[in-house]
Amino acid sequence: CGFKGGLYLPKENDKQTFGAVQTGFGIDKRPNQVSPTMQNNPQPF
Amino acid sequence: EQQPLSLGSKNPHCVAPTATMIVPAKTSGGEALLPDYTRLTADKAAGQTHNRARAEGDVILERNSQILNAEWVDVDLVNNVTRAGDQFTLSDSANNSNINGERLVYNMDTRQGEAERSRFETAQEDRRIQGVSEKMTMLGDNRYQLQDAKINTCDPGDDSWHIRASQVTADYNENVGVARHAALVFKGVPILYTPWMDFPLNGNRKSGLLLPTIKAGSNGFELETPYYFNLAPNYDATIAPHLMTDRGLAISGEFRYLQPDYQGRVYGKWLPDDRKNDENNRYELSWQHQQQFSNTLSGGVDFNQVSDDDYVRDFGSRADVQRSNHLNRQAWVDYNDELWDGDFLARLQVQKYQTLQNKQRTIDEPYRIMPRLSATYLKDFDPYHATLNVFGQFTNFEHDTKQAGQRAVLYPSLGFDFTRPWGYVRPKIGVHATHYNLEEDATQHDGSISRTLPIFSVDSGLTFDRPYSFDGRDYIQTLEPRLFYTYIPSKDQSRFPNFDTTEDSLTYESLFRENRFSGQDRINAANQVTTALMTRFLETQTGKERFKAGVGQRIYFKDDDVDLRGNVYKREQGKSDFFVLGGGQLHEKLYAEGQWHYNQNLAETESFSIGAKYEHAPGRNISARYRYDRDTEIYSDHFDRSEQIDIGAQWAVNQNYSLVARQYYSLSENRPLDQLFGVEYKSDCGCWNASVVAQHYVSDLNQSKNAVFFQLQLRNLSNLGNNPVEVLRDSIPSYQPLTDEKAKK
Amino acid sequence: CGFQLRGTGLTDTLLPYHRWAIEDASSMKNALKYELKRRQNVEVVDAAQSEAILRVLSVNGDKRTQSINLEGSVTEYLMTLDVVVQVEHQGMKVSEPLHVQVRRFMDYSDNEVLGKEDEEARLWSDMRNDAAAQLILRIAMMNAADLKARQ
Repeated sequence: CGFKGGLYLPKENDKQTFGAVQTGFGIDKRPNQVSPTMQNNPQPF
Repeated sequence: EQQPLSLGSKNPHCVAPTATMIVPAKTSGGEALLPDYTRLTADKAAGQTHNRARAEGDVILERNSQILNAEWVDVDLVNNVTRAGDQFTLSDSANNSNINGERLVYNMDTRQGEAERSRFETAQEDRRIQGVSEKMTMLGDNRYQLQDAKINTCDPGDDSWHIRASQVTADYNENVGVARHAALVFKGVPILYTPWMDFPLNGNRKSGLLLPTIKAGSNGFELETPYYFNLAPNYDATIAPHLMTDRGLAISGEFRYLQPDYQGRVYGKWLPDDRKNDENNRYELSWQHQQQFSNTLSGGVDFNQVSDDDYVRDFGSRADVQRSNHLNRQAWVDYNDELWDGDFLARLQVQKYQTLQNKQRTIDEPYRIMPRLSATYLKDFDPYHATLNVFGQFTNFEHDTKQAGQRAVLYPSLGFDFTRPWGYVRPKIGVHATHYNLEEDATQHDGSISRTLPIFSVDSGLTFDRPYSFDGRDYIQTLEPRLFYTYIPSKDQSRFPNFDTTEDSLTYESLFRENRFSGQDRINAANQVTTALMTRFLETQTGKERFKAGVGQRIYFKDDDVDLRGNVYKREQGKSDFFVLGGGQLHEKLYAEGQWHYNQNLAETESFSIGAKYEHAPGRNISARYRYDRDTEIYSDHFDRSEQIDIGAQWAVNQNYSLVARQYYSLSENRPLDQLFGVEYKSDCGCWNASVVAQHYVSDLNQSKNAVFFQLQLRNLSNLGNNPVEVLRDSIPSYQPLTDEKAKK
Repeated sequence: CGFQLRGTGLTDTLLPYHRWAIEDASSMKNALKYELKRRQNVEVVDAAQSEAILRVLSVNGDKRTQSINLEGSVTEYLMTLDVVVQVEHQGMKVSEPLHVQVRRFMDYSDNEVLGKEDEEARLWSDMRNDAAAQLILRIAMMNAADLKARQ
């Protein structure tokens, strides 16, 4: 879903993102960097 | 198989705004840590080799902005991986989030890791998201991924709706969350499934589908699904396919733009072929634009056009149908500057209305103004309490059937203003000169004619005061007698065309006008004085006008006058009709106003209206208005008696349900002209609200249209392209919309 | 019955300051200027030489269909003007925001669109003058109430 809001004049360091298509297509495809997985459990102490 | 985690109850009881779903991790109470330092406190430090540390029993691990509580913690110092188990809570003040669950593997520096059977909540820029998932992966830099998750934007414990998905990925930097194989589950019932869907995370604008509008009515079942293009901070667009089962598929598009010195909106709708009408390519187009060229020069465009005469009746909303059968197409440039230390304002404009004709009747098409240049110069002469006002106007009038021509007007006037606290005298003397250049025409009007008339008026009045207390409050009651004399010689104007002139509405205020005609083509004869008496009740402490009432009448010293056709005629009686006006805040919650126009000649009421608005409490108000007219145009070219009543109410029955109703009824024809009934539901904890609005309104003499709107709003998830709130605000004078914010609490 | 000519006692209608400037007034500028100049020994000057500033916080006009005929066409409009002003002295706000609402009804017919445009423009101008009169009177009466309270 999108979110429609009021227009405003561009300002510096504006954190908001823009684009005709703002989907998450990319985000769940990006390879997640090596993250420690649960498999390699350490040997018991 | 373990029980799936639950987000809360479907009918939650509400919690305080600061409440959290997860008890935040508790700190060890030690003093603040230096950056990148770790403090580990626990009941038992179970041992330590050079590359691993283990602690058990009420373990608290603190590092930078993160705090981890767990039953046991096992830190692999070499590759900085922390394992925690059986029950853990991880809180991070950097992104105001809490996560708890059974198993955790986490790198506190890269903020990457995984948690099993976890619950999480985060509130960024006061937008809250909470969720549960079988497995949660923290991908680092504010990105998360959940497997078999349930999420919503409600308060802790509120599971009235959630999005269930096999996978959810949230990227706070991109302000986007994506759900795969997602279902919107409302009170436990999945009502919407989509293999893939994305949604905004914080309150910023985001491109994407907006919640659809569902309507049923004269155009069959209607579904409009707007897609919003969040192009730039100062540009956006909305494209909305609009399916109407009885007519076909239409597409509408809106583009908005904003620049430091200009802004505007373009909107269009196109229906390629309409099953219910042999017209094809039916469209509407509108462009509104304002621009400031310099600090003295500005301009704008107001352009509205439709493909055919029936478009508005077939597709327009109730407000469109009731607005006007003339669509304005106009462009203008304004010049506004100081001149010889007075104010000079000028406007150059072109205007060509589109008139929507109707088979049963023909509407008088207005002249096209191609162009008009009008200017006003105002200069004060303070020592003499005088103000010079010079009005000039040149217009080129065009028309398909009527006689075209040019008209120039020059109307300089000098007004004096002698005011004291107890009264005032304001004489004004002016000369209204008009010159016409008329095209040759079948009638005998010859080429150029002109008219020059002096206009003299004196407005004078006294002000009396006395203290008056009522209901324990002190007021000042005023008594304001007023005399308004006008002298204009009578002049036959039947040979003058009527380009843009009509008679003003007959109201109390119209008694204080020199010329009862608007436009410049007719100037009434006058040797008359208006006598009026006004009383006001002003609060002594604040001066607020609580109530005012006035009565007025005009006395004619000569009985010839000019009618709309320009002929001089003899008036029957010496006194004009009688006008009474009253209104104000009768009581804290009750506002009332009324007007009465009595025709002395016929000894009958010409028109009478009375209205009241009672605001019991926010969200609880009733308004009603009764209007009677002895002889008015009840439909095109048909004059008769008219009696109408208009009742509107918004009543919050209880904390959740609110009823909205309107009945606009013609008593003289005993038939309804505009009816509306709506039910609005606001959930207890304000995480969602829904409304159903049904409408029945007259769209032509014996034609009416009906429509039922449905709207569901989920807090912060999305909002509507267009929604029925405008309809409600239009029909119920004191209507307060249940906006998202209000839906919170 | 107790009525007295105003200004000879009960409501002394002196404004708290003599030299006024009007700021951010847009369409309300002339209405407020002429109403101020009607007060005893009051001048309307530029901000630099002014003792007090009358700042217009907001001006909102709304025009809505009030009555319709049997064809559903509008026959009467309700026009509402809301104006909010505030008084400033030496850079400080010395009054609450003062809000006034003025309402006018205007009959309408589709055969008179051009004439009604002119009538509407004059109605808006009347409403601005009415709003200005009420606002300036309120400033004067609040000033009178202050003076009496201090005595």
